[in-house]
Amino acid sequence: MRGLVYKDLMTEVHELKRMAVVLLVFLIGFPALMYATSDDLSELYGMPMTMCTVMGMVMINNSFAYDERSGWMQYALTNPISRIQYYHSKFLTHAVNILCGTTLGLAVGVIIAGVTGQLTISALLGMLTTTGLTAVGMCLVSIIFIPLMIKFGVQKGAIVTMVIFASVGGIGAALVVGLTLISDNFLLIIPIIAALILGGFITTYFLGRKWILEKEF
Amino acid sequence: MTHTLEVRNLTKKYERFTLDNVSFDLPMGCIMGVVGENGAGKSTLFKAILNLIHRNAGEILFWGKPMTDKDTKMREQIGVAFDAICFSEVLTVKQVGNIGKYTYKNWDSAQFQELVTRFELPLKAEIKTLSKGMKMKLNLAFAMSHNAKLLILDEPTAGLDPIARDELLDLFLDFVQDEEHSILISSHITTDLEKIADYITFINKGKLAFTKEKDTLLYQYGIVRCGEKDLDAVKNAGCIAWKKNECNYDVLVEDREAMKRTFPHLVIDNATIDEIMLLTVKGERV
Repeated sequence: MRGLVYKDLMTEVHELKRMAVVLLVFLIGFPALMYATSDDLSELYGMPMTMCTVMGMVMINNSFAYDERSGWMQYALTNPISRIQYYHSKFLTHAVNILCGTTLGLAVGVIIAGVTGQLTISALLGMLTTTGLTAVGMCLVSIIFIPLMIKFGVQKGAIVTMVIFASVGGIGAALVVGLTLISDNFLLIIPIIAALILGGFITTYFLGRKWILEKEF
Repeated sequence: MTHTLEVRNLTKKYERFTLDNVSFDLPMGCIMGVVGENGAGKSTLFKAILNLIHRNAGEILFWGKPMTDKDTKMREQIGVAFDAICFSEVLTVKQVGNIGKYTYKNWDSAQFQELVTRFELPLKAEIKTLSKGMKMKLNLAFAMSHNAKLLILDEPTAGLDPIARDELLDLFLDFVQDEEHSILISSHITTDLEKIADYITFINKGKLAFTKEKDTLLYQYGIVRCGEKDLDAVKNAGCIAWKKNECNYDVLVEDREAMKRTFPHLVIDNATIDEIMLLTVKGERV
């Protein structure tokens, strides 16, 4: 699995070099613009931090795109690598991406907050919470995203992911609003919703395992 | 146990194509060339052997044992190269070597380095900057740097110039000097297979037309060039297939010498693998 993750990371490093300009805009340009034009500086470091974490998501998508273009997956499976190992390697790569993105985002946030004189204990705790929650969110998203990439490929997979998130988000929001209106004990329903979400993630993970085992090249 | 690979009654059905009941053995220390026209089923055969597709029936044994997806140890002993490079084009030659180092327990960095030097591949060059020939060489360097005992090569010489092809063929011949080593190779360039293969397996429209020793094909098979008046007699004497040309007939026969004795007045040429394929596919059967 080490070879798979190494391959993904090397590909991503190349991609990051290509996207250096975009990164610089998010890390330097955007905060500078906000600093110059806005009185509200609360988002000054929040945005670059979130973007760094989100970049991790973009990177795993790119790694699938490179695999698809080069036919890597079918070749990898002729190496001493099982299908499940390949599947898990994508989660591992994604976790590394998120970790790197989070660390970079946090560092950038701390630097910006320090430079603009906003680095307080509460600001630092806020930054840690923001990056932590975004990282957990991105990791959870991957449990749906990665299986769909395996099943449908990069382009179709991205569309299906968006449709699923839009549908689940829409239905979920409607459900929450509806339940809030009709129920006095809404808080009691939260564990059920959490269990449904968890169940959804577990189901998608195992569906992904099934799809990769059935996949033909 | 003397076979590296045994394929038994392999069947893979698609909506519009079936690889039908293919069986053959690849003995240790041998090179087997797989030939057939485009769409005949060569790639399907290779994918089925490598577990990249799920077969409908049949059995595939490597060194006497079946290989499942989880048998990663067995795949340590198999080197694979397809007709195009499967590494991301942004990786460098050195990074490809590192992937091998982190993937194979038996990875031999010195061997990879030696092959890279022999093939004159620049270590720091990205794959996208390499020529097609260099990409194929990198593919082969990767496939041959982990002490594999079996190489499975799908069109490894496609698109290469004669000098590069000759260099690779020498490499394959060196590889099988070790009697435990074997190669299963498909190619449309049948002259390459005539140089190196010990066995030829011919797949036609998803079916196994034959698996034969190359020498049997080249030294026993023949093409009888005859006119219409001799055609029936030649056909009755044991022809495999025949084809009408502008002013004569080409008749593929299995025993050239016997035909020479029976028809001393006729021209009987040696058959090349190309001609055998052509007559088997396009010719009319008795």
